[in-house]
Amino acid sequence: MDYNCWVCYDFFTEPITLHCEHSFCKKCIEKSSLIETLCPFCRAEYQLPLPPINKTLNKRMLKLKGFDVVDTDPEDNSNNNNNNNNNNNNNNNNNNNDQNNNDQNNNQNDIEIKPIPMDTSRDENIRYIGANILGMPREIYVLIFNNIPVKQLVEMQRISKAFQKIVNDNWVWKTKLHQYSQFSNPDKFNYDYRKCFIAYSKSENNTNKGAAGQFKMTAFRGHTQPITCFDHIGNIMTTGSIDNTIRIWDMNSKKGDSLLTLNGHSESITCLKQTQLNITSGSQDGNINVWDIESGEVVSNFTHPSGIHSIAYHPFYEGKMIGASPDLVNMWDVKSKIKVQSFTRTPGFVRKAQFDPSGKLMINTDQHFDVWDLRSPLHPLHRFNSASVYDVTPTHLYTWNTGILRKLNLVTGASELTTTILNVTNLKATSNDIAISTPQSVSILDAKSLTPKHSISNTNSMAINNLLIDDRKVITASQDNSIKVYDKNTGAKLYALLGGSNIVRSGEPTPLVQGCKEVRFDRTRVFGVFNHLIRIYNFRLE
Amino acid sequence: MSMSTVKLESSDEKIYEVERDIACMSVTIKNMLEDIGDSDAPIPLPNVTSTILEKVLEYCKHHHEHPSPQPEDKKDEKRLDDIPPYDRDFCKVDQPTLFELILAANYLDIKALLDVTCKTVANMIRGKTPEEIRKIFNIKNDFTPDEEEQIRKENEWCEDKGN
Repeated sequence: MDYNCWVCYDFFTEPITLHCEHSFCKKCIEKSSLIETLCPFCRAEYQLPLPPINKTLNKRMLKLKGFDVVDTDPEDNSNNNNNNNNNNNNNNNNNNNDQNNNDQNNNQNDIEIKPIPMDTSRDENIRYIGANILGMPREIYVLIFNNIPVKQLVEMQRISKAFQKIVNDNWVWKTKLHQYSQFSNPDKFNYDYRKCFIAYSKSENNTNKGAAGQFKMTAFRGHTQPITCFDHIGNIMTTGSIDNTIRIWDMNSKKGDSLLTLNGHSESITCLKQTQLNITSGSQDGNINVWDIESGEVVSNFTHPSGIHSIAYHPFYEGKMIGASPDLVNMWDVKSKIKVQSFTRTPGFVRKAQFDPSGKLMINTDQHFDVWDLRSPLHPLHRFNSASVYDVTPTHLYTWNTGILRKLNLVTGASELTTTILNVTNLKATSNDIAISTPQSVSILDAKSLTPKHSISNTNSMAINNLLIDDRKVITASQDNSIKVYDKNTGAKLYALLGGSNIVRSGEPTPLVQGCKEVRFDRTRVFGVFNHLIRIYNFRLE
Repeated sequence: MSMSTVKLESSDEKIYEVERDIACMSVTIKNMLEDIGDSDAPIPLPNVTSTILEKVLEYCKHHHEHPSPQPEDKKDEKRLDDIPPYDRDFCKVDQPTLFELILAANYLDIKALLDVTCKTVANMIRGKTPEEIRKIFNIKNDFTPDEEEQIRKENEWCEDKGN
């Protein structure tokens, strides 16, 4: 088939096919028709007005030229069948008007929006006439079903066979899976995203319920001294230790061996941040190293006169990093390796520096808790009382110091509420709840009123080293070497993950703290730091 | 001829002259205009009928005149009740029109219109039983009781989701 116009020898632009079946660009044949009404190819005579644009050919041309054109050939794509019928119907209806309209349109330059009465002759009882829900392209279903909860989506399979096909579309489940879990393993399911989602959902349920035999524990061994910090993205985990090394682990590894050991710091590692490509580590030796995660080479290095205890990346500005020592907080641009700012005016010893979710810098010292707006570097935006423990939500800061729990508004700087609680050792906040631990108990407070909602029954009186809260559960890392998971809404204990005995065997380092030092979790795994090793409880058993 | 307007041609060959800014709310048209440069020729929209194109232009015109200053960054996709009043009324059309609007918005790449029409459909579906959805969209249940039972069994995995 030829796609060239016999007048301009170029690809057709809006082709018109004459009754002799020869096609030309609309413009070309219009020009030609001013001179003679003979087909430029076969010289057959034709009558004016010219026939309308050959839509089939035009579509093919647009496709050839790379335009995204919906196919109208009924046999091409069953999904589009229904629209096509409709298009064709409409076209038939409108063809009668074409001749009249053509002339009018050519003369009119004004905005012409003529109300055409909707085709009311459609019989409601005949299915599949007109565009309908069964005839949409896949991407549309993805958009619609994005707004439908999974449970209902699954129910919707029962509507009809055609609907079942739509609901079970791989794209729909791919998007659903990504809504819930950034990291998944569709390759294991032959890229059947629905199956992958089901497996994921089962393991998430197991994580929430924790019945015996529903998880697998792997211990990651390698560090010779206690682990101080860790981070993970997807299946790659990084740990830092007092043994001056950083180790990178593949969490899917069955043996629990590390992939890489990063040597370079001369004193213990104190803090770590893992990104997709890099690992940033802060050490007691005063260095912040940025390492390439694949090669293990140091990409950038930043130095402080004293030991680093915290590092943080700005939530929005890529590569803007702060590093904090007890006497100094610096902000760098990691890419250009330039120091952007120093926060030396901060009085007192810095305990921790971090960003809040909106990008404000929070520096907690032994004298104050300062919140800085980076745009005005001369004075802190808010100055609060120093905090022994604290946590931050998008809108509020919760601090505890010497018996007083405070709810502080990060926008206005106002202290909204205070309440008296003694000996708080850990504090974690979400928008609705606050979890706190004291040496004797763990309790959940209402974030609005700071009043207790539940007191978690701490059956053994061992103290809590670390605690976490999400929308469903509270996870505690306890000195009795266990991780306990509680239902956030009832306070009931869901399950406990045991971490072996507390006895330090010969050859093992002396732990920094007794029991499980720190805990972390994602939707299907719980991680616990136990002295020099990390245990991962994986609820994903496929 | 001022270049502040462009001509659009619907699939049934009706020509509409609209302000360039309004037409350019469609990414597809914007790209086409960039490709063809300055030209008086009407842009063919072979996938959009005049009835639908008129509705689409009406929508674009309204939103061009009443730009809604909503920050795009903190949009929670799962919120369905945030459809502005004009858009809600705009979507009060019969189903064929609504779905044709979706197809047109998709083809013309007008994100706001696509969002609001898809949300409207999602609102029609959300929280409904399969039987109710069948009624809404006039779909016949073509499963045998055995097949239905089979689906129910396959779906047991999500029974305790969201408890």
